[in-house]
Amino acid sequence: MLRPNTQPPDHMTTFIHAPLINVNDDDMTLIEWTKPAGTRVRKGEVIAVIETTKSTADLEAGADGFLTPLAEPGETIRVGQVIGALTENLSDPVTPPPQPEKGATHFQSASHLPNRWTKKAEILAKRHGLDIAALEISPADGETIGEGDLLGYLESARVTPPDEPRSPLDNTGGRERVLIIGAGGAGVQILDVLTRIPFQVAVGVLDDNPALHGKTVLGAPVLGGIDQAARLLAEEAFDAAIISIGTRTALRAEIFERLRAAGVPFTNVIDPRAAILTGAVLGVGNAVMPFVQIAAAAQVGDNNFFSAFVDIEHHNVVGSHCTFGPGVMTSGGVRIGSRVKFGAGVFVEPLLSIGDECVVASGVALTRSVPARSVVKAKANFVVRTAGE
Amino acid sequence: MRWQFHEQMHTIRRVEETLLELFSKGLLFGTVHTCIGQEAVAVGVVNALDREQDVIWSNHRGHGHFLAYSDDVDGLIAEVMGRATGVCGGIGGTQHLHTRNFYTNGVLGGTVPCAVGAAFAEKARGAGAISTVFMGDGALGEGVVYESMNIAALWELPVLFVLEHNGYAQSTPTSLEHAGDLATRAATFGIECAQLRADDVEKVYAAAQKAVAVVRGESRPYFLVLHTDRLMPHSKGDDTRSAAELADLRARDPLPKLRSRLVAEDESRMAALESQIEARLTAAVAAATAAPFGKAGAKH
Amino acid sequence: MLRPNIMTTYLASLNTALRNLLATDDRVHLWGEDLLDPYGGAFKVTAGLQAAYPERVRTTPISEAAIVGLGNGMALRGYRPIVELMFGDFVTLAADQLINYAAKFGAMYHDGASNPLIVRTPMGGGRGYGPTHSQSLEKLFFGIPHLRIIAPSLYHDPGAILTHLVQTTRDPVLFVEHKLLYPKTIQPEGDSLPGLEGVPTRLIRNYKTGKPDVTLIAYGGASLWIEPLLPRLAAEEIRVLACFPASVQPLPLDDLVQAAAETGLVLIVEEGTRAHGWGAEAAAGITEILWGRLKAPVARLAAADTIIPSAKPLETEVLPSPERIEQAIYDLLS
Repeated sequence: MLRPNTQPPDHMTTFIHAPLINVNDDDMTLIEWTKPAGTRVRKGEVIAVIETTKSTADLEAGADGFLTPLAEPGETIRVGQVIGALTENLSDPVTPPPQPEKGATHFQSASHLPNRWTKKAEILAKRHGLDIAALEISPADGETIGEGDLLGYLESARVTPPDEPRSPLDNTGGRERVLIIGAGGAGVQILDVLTRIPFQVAVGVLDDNPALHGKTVLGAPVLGGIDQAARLLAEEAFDAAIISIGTRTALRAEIFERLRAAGVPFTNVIDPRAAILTGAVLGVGNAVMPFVQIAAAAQVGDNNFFSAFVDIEHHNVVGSHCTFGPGVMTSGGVRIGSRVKFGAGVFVEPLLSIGDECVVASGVALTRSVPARSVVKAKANFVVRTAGE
Repeated sequence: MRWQFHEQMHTIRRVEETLLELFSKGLLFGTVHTCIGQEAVAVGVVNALDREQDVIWSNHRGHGHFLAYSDDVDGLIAEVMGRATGVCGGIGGTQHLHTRNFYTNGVLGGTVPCAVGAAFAEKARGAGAISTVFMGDGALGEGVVYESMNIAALWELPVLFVLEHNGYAQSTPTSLEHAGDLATRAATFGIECAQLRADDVEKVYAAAQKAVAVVRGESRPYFLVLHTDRLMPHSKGDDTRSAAELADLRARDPLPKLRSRLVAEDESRMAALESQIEARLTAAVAAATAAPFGKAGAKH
Repeated sequence: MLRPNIMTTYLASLNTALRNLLATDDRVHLWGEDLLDPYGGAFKVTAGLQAAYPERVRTTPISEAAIVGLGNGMALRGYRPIVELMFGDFVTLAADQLINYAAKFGAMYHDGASNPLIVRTPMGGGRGYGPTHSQSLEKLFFGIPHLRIIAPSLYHDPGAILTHLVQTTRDPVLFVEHKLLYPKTIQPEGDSLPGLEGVPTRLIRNYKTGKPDVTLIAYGGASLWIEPLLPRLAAEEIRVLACFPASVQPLPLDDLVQAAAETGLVLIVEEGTRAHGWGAEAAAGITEILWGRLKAPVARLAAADTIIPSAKPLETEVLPSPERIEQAIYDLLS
């Protein structure tokens, strides 16, 4: 025997709700009303038969009253649905309360349709780095911006697909235009660093090898020999220059002096992943590759080339026109002159000084100062044996 | 009849002893659970069954039951040696044997509902076949055995439960395994039961015949408890019983006793019989050794 | 008693199929707890059958291990037993019979012995039954060779599949029915892929023209979460190819790969817990074949790695839902 959930009779009408009979069934079938419409029933009398997948059950009246059925025999009813009413008087009007929605499973969708745009359009916009809410697009159906609308917009705005790498020559204004002197390996390194520096852009390369003229290096055009610098300066084709040449200190120095005499300004090109610490000071024309450290209170002159992972330690003083191979590690307070060339993997103990035009070969661990124009070599401590020899 | 029984029992004994020798030489895989000392159970019961249509479920210690049913010495030895010529292609090995209506499996207790299901099948088929399941006393620790006895009795199924009670579950004596009495457990389900010592194969045979008649004739279960002795370890090298106890058990071994009686009847017949069995064994071992290994059905 | 609809419910399909099997094949026997009519089983799948075939439809004691074991004994003797476990959560009690017996005989006996045992059971949550009556424990048997696991979805005809299995399987089958599917009208018409051994994989698209954006893969009751989502996504112009295998183990990898290759973006939805789940196996298989052609790693949405509470709001936090699937699709596409 079932007693349905009934409301307290505040308008002297009691509504009959379909009960929860078992946990497995949200829906059930009203088989029949066992009393005709308009019958006066007493509380507890059986008034209907309901069937679930598990069983058939009798429905009892929850109060006295005149019966008004609101659901038909054979109808599928849902738990909680109002299926009938018991009124105090036969002629009382019956206004059933709003019913729960039938049909497919309810869920709270994340979509906000109807809206200005579909989720698909929103996602596509995001893929192109755009916020759809900020775009001015007229939807084709006059109501909702769809995928088709967005694709049309992208095409007409010629938005570059997001996957292409940024070209070094992509100058969108306000950036320092850099001319690179030397199209060799060091030139490629500098061009690469420039792709990561937001306020500088490479505009071209000069190289004295005529075979390269008119070609490109990493997308940058080789505009001619180094003698073209003055002309390009006059045409205001660039803002400053940097010399790439990575090992020949004398050549670096000579070109620098020559171009400076012609009025060419020089600029530093410093990779964002290099660390220039507090109080460090640099001149101009220095090329600083990734993961270099110019430590606190170090002083560096002009036109030096620092390969990756060079550590110029605190309170060092470095002159000009030097070249450093990868992994040169100084200690604090070292003084390095000008036109000094370092190989790769050199260690320098603190407070030493290395005079002008020295050459320090790879692998040296320097434990004493060296005067100008010295050559420091490491004693070989390995043997190479090649198969077949 | 006695000669036939002895031939079967002696064959089982020699096969088991041979397997133990092969094991010591490292020629077998895994372990072997020999039924040495318990041959009378296998021979006495299986001869009371209908080998054409009755179903038998055995367990990890099933070589005796297998040989009493099929006499397939070659197939058994090859199977235990992992050969393709083994009765199960060398895949299952000693504990997982199947031929015609004979099945074994190695996980204790679970064979019992399978046997009861087979009884149900044979009853449905209506050809009068019955199902027999051999259990050791250790198996009565598993709950599914009782579930199965309950259903067998409730649904009146033709299954013969044979409890091969050797006093040990692996290394643990019955006194530490089971409360109460093993035989009367079946009685609480309303299953008729009988128990005797399996010293004399002919007595076992008679008791089995009586049980089979009930099961087949009245389509209801029966619980036959046969007290016996396991003379060798549970598997290999795991015997914790004392030398004195083992000596006692060997003194009770029914096989030499039957042999003595038969030798008194006809010594030369016994000699011929035994050498014939030896020849079978030698041939079986040689054939198995020469055969290739089985193929697994593996998918990679 | 069934409503006289033109379309059929999942439950009615099963009931009719079982009735037809009993009528046409003497080898078929049906066992389970509380099958006695008029009660007719806890979920009423076998309603009316015990009364019609009392010798072959039997109500059993509460002995899951024994009744599955009896099924093994029957199947080996050439019969077609169908054993019902009342709740899939209780399959643990029959695990030895399924793993060490049913799944072993065919391979171990090696002489062509076949074991066509079918164990049917309802799995899944959503009814507030709590931690030990709401699980999807078919996952316990993933990776047990020679044990088939079949879970028809809303888009399959479960009765037809069951009939096919009874008639043709040589290996034992764990046949998983989701409790919430029973009253639903099935939708078996439309595109299919071959699946495995005659158990098809259904393909549902929520669009008519164009190419799909994302591939959804799910089985069994998870189809109930996806059904209301498809039109909603279509309105958002997200074109979905939903792929529902009924053969859960072995996995019809060819079908899944074919569906995945259409989009390169795959979301696998399952009701079992996430760790070591079906989605992990399917994702690995798809990735092995489609590496380089996928636009993102295969995504998985599953139940949280915890118990399933009884109270509905708490249950909702643990189990997947249409809302979660929808968000996962947006995340995958972005």
